[in-house]
Amino acid sequence: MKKENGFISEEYVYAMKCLWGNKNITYDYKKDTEKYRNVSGLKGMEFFYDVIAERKVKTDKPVVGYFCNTVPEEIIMAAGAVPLRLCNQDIQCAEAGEEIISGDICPVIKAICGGLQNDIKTDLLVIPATCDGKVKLAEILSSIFGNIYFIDIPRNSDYTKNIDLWESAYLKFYEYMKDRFKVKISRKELLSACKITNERTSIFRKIYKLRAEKKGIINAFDYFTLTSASFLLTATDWTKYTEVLYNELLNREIKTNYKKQILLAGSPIVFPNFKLLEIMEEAGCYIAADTLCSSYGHLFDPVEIDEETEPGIIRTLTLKYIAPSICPCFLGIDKLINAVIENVEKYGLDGVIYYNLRLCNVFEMEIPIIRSVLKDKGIPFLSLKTDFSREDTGQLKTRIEAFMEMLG
Amino acid sequence: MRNRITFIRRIVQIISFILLVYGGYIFKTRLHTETGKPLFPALKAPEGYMSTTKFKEGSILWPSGTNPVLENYPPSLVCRFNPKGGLFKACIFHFISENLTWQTHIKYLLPHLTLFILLCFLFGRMWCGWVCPIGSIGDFITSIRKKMNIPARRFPDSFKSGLRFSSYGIMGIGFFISGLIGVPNFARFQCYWFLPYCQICPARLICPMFGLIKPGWKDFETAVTSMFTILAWLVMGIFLAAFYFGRRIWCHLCPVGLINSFLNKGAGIELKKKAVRCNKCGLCADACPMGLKEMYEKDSDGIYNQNGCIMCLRCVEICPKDGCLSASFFGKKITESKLK
Repeated sequence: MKKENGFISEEYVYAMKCLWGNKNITYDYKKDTEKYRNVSGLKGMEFFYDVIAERKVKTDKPVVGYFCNTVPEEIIMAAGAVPLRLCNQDIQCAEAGEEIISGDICPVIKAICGGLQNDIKTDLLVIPATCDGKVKLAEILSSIFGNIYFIDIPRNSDYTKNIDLWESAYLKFYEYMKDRFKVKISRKELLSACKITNERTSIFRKIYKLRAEKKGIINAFDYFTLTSASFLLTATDWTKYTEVLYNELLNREIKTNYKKQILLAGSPIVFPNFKLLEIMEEAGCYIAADTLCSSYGHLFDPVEIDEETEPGIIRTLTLKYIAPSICPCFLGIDKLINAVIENVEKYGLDGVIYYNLRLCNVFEMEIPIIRSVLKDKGIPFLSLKTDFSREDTGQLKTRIEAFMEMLG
Repeated sequence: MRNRITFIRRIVQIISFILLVYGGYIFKTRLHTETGKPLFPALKAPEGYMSTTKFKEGSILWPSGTNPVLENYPPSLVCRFNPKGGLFKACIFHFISENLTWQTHIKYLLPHLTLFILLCFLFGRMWCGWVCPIGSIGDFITSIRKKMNIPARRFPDSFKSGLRFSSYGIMGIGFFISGLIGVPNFARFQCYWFLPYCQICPARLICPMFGLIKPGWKDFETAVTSMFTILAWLVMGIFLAAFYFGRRIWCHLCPVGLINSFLNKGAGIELKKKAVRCNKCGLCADACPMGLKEMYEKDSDGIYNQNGCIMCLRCVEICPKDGCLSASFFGKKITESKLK
């Protein structure tokens, strides 16, 4: 039996098609963006809110969708395609996904599953083996998306142990992309792709630093809209418009009524899921730094090329995406703890809030380790467990306000 | 500039190469004619012993024959087979072997050894990464490989420690033979066994080639010289292959580097790590031309000068985290990693 997509035999795929109904999911974020746009007051943000509200891509190039931070964008860009991170945290998508995969499953997986039925059309989906949910997602999605590439990466993020395995996984992906899009890629294309993402990294680092140093310079909605927009934009566009925004921020007069500065760690926050941010803004809590994989993890690390050979560049890509990854699915919590302590000490922050997405067990398992380490260092710590629904808003609000009072 | 330290290092390497290989042409003649004598007294083979200048041209041991300007300062020959001796002497291995054979009194050697130890104490093994002429040529070969889009071959740690072990062996055998032929009873072996490691050292063939004189590269006069000639070509082949495929894997085997590295751990130049800033990306270990991993593996703050470290400071340069790695000289910071 021929396996068309590489995961499930054709016969079973045929049977699985009945999983998918005709869901009419509409990505109409005009109302949501309007709410945050009014608070923002930044001209440079208009573009990003527009991008989020439309959720469309205007390009002639092939579009490659991917889901996790460990997919090397540079290889996709070098192959002449546009990489889009289709991570989704919309509650209506999650509800649609619930009909396909019900049960105690991570809401992000559900939202991706439900949302993809009517999302941006892609030529290829790339799914890495970061967590168990993603692995099974690849199988489920293979019934309606013929083209899925699965990047198999080992979970120990120790350089000395697994670098060769990462390198071979990325090299396979590289060869696949060459075949799939019938392009010749040389190191020239790879280098220019790396240059583009490095420019994006450098402007992001500037914004990250400015936000931490000047209290209240950019509110949480603007910041996370900016990072969510980077999922849907090409790196060049994002860099161009972010530079405009950065210049505007430099000359911005700050009027602030924030009480405390905290660091936000934990699960990713992508556009419509701004419930936690709303509560924190209301409580006067300024997110001065974060270590979320949707912003810090996605944009902070640069590609540093040691050897400008094709395998050399691919090897250093693994050192951008996998080795410093702060995803709890990987072995190596040191990196997250280091990042949290470094940011808190460097910018003199008041405390750490850990956002734990309900049903992502690995995030929850990290909490006792981080709590005890931070207690030892004397840094106040609060962990919040919630999901996309707005039912527990009041309870979260009470907890955050109590935490703020405890900070003094 | 992204690769600022490497750029400075390349310039230093080129200048050192010119001074070491062509220094004699540039400076020596003028200084000699003006003053009439070398600036510092030279160490000479004692009366009755085989003089190094007695070898005939074309023989494997034929030296360049002239004394450098700054004789023995720094305290050893750059390479005895260099044309015109270079500007100053620097190869410690040759220095020790030669004087073991000559049985030079320790009081003449003391100032030179003191200076050498002082330099090692200040700079550690910096010689290998910044000055060594065959290291510079090796780096040039490596850059050709990079241009040809061939990735570096990486070797397991056990192989590297094996090379270091062999390096001790080479050093021991070299010094033992040198000392042995210094004993009057064995003096008749001197004309063939003099400087045993130098005879197979790749620098013996490479430095004269660049120095525009003919190296003694096909001496098959006797069985011993034939052996050394064949060994020399073999080692030369290994040297070129090592630099072509494996970055600085050769430097794990080099006994000169080994002697230079003895004071590496307490050297004035210090590589520091601030562990809390580390994001464990592994770039420092990946970019290290010697393939050392300690800088990556350590989880606490401290000074990590490793035995094999050639102080090229590539790890400090490539580290993408602000102030994670830094290089300092007796506690004074020279450079540190930066956000780019």
